[in-house]
Amino acid sequence: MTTCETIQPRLTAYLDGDLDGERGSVVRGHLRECAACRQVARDEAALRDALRLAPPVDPPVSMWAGVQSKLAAAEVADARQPRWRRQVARWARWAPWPPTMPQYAAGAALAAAAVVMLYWRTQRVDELAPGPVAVAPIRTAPPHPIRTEAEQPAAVAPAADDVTADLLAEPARTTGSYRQVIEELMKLASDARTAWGDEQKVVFDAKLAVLRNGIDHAIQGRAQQRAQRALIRYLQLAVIRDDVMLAGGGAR
Amino acid sequence: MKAAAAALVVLLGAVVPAAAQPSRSPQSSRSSPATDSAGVSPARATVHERARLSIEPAGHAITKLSIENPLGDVRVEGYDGTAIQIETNKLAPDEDSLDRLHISLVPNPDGTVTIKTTADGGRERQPVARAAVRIDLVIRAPRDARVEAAVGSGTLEVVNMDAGGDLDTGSGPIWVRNVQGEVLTHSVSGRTRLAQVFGSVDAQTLSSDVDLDTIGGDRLVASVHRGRIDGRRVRARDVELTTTDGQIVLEAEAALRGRLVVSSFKGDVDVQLRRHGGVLIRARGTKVDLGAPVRTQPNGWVEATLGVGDNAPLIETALVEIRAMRGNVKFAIIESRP
Repeated sequence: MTTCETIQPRLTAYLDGDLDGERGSVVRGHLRECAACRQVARDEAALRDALRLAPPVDPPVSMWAGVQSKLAAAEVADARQPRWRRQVARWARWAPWPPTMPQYAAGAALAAAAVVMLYWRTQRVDELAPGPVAVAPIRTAPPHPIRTEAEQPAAVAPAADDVTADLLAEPARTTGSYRQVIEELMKLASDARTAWGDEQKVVFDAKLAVLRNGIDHAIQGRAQQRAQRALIRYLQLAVIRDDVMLAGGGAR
Repeated sequence: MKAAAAALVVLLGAVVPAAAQPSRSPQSSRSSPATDSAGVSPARATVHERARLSIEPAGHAITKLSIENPLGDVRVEGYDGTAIQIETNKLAPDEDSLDRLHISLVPNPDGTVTIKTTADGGRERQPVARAAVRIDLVIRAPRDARVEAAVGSGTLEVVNMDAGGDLDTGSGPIWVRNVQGEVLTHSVSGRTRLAQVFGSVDAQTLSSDVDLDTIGGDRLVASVHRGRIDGRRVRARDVELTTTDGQIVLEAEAALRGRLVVSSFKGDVDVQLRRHGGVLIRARGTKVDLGAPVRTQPNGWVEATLGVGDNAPLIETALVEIRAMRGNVKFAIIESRP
């Protein structure tokens, strides 16, 4: 007989695909019958999806240097140990008890994470908003059954034609469209330039450099597109309205 | 940190059943296609989910709506209330694909409400084409909230708002009606239509038309790279319309001391003006017809002056400048008042 208390600690491993054979089957069977555990599994899956969408964070180079130096120091220390101590250490690595300092540290970290998760789960509704807030969509249909192993789709890499990949590629497509128009206008500007005076050329080049710099240093996506739009506007004015005689509120 | 946690919570909230949140009162319904005896959905069937929710402000008014929906249409309607009412409509070929569509909603303490749609992915997901899924949003918001919205190929529509907006689409059309305040629109290839807009307007597209009807305010700027600009009942003090390759047809009213600059590189320009007081017109093009006696300047510009007395100060005169570098210019006064 399985209970929620025995199943819920295994959900992470189950979602990771680490429970095979009978152990996975037991969890699946319980999830089919228990709405509460099914919800916990859904929450955790949704959290994973959300975290997966977050941008990757590259650790600083200094961190890797630190890790490597510590590994090197540990190897040197290991080499200097007598053989019998190395064997004891190897045995202790597999011994369940007494725990070593790293095991204590890992245990403490897990406990802290559990407390944070517990706090989050109990507080998150209150944190949401200053007032009644509803979140869409709320499902009224019964939750979908967890698929059996045979029904699970084969693991597939994100396809290029998948909606997620398409959404990720959209900013680059838009930026490319703007870039193409900028190139077209630059050709027109190049033609128009032959009729410009030296002062006009200097002003144009300076302004162009500033606007291009703005594009180069803008964050990819909307900010960069905004900078591209500014350049397009300027090029249009330079090419089509090279003589803005009426500028200045109508004063001639 | 708290805001980030709230955003995640809302994302998670998309899969929390109603029973888990008894204090909230959204309404939702999901309809699935009919299935055969084996439980297999027909190949071309779709799954559909509708939901409604309402956000009441607490302590501070909702001042700004920030919406990002790359997956479908967005319609924002202003009304005389304080709450935001959101109707969501999801569509997907099957239940699994529908489960990938999420709507996050984050109310911020500064009065901004952020609504964002996403389609999550991952190795364990079956690919689904973007065209096969969609999320449409209809939002009723307080009139005095400013709208900042971005959509992809869907329609972006804003009506009856009083604080303007900043609207962005990829290939989707933009439709703004009965809006006051500063309105900024930009689209790559979506047709942009603005009607009954009173305030500063700035519209920009790369390869689509811009249609302006009943525009009033201090400033109207519209630029199109490839496409035409049509304007009717335009009455802004400062008007600048520009196309690289496209016709411009404008029927406008010249404001006293107003300035109207209409320029096209390759397209023809046709301007009809209702004038109050004097107007000075300058034009340059392959062929120029100003409908009045003209003076041709050595630099190629053609000028005409209408309704300007000998003693009238030039600064009171409305100025009209028309360029069609490789096109024709046609200008006419359709109504004159002293």
